[in-house]
Amino acid sequence: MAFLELKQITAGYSKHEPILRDFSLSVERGKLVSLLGPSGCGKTTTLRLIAGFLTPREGRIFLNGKDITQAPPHTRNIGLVFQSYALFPHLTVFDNVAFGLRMRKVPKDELVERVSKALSITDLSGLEHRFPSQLSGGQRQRVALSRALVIEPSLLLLDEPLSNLDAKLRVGMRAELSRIQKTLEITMIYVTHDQVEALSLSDEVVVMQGGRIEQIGSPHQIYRYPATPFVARFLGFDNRLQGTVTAVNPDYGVLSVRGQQFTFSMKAVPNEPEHFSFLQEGEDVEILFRPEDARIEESSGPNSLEVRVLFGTFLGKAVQYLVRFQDQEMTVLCSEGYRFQEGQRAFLRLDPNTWFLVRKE
Amino acid sequence: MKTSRFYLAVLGVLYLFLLGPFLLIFIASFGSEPIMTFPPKGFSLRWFAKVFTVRMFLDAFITSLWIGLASTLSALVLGIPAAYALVRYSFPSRSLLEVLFASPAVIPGLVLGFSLLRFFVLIGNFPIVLGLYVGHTVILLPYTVRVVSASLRNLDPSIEEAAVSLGAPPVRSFFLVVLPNIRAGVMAAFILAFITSFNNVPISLFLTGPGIAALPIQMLIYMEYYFDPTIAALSSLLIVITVLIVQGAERGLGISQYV
Repeated sequence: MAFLELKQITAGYSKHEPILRDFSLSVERGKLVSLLGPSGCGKTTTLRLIAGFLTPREGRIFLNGKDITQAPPHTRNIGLVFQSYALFPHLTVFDNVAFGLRMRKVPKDELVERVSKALSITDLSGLEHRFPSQLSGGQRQRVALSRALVIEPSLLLLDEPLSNLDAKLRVGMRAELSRIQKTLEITMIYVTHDQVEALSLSDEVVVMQGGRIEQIGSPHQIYRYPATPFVARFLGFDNRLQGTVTAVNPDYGVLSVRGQQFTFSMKAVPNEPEHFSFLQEGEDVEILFRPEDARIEESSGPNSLEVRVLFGTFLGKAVQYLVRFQDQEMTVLCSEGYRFQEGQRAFLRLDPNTWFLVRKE
Repeated sequence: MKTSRFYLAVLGVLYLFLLGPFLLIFIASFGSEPIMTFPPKGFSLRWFAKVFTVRMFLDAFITSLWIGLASTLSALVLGIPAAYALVRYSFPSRSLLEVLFASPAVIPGLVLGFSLLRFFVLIGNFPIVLGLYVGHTVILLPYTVRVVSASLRNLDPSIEEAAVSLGAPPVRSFFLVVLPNIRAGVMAAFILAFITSFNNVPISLFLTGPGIAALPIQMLIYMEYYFDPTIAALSSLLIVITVLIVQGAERGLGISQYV
């Protein structure tokens, strides 16, 4: 049995339709697993179940082999970091962090030592006597983290912990979280709607939607080989093209997009030889691909479509072009600055091995 | 420019209506004639001095003070958990309960006082002080519930969950992290409720009995027999005390955000 097991959970809030149905998840000890999905997908509900603020209607939760389904939250020894930080406004940084230890009746000397250690891990030494209102957002975040870590929780749950920080701070805190997780070897469950956070921090990403798990995999797997159209769209396969399968054989397939032929390997997805097995000759499919997986060029070449440039947006390190192929609009990134004018003819070079194919309903 | 002058004029008239009577009483209380007149003739502080020598005022003041303190505290002890339940939990009869808690503030005080009197008479031999105390607690509840609710709504509910996740049982986490953070709201509720009780007429009117009267009732009784400015002096004192308390509370706690 894994360190944390959720088995066939059905859960929701009073009288309403359940948010999670027959939901199962296992997390190995020492791993950082993130729950990724849009708001309302059930990721926070999952977190509240594990923390004990919500009791499942059906199913069981096991932590370290023990059934904790009915255990009251204050007995679970699970650390929590909230989106709002939830610091105690009337207590100093020291007393905030010491709170959990006082509940555990830790002797004074040990308490002082453990609090200072927790504060030094998060680089807060010297701020012991400040009140939360006297701290910056990043500092508050670190106090929240120290407060949860100091009790040596068997599991640390983080609910969108970085979403109230500005972009630059977020990157720094992300690295810090990752470092702390690795040095303390603590099992963490990280709830986020931000794919970059999930991909950069996690050992494993669980993509959720509508109370169900869409895909579980390593960040690379999730990013490169989404398992469902939802995961593909959620992870930035923003462009779509209509095509028709013209040939399939065990090694490669051929797709036609308005007469233009594209050849792709049937074995493009590692360890999943059956990935494209649903494709049949003559079938209409939808091609999903990322803006960064296509190139915009001046001249025609293999695997390219003739397009018209509609609009260019400067993004800093690249220019994002909106282009039109017949009646379909797509975006593409070009890292070589403004090279195309509005209305200009250009060629969109695609890489069929980065495509996600969906059968057209 | 024109409209702003118009609004200022309206505002001025409004203030005159509100404060005019107070001002009249205040000025009249310094008169030296044994009958209240306006404008007062002469200047004297003797009516203020007399306030402190009238036995019935002192007794009533003490009664009102105790009734006010006891019923305010009771209304807080009952009102804080009620406010907490109303803000934090959703349950089927919540809106009904909300209306119920608001009802003493909505139902005319005379009706409430009368029904309380009938109720106590029905019970039979109910002590007068106890009746006043219970009656006042009832009318103060809506104030404490509302003010405490407002300050609870301003408090991030996740700080309680944080306390629980750190090992504090729910009741303990209420006392350790919720109560200290709604202190200002509770203080505001205390002051508002106390002043409400202290100034209340309709309930006290019905529940006052032989030998025991709340201060405002005693003032009414006094006015039936005497016409000297003592009553004006007492009123002025009460106004000044009330203004000082409210002003102090506003400075120190910012109570206007809860009331």
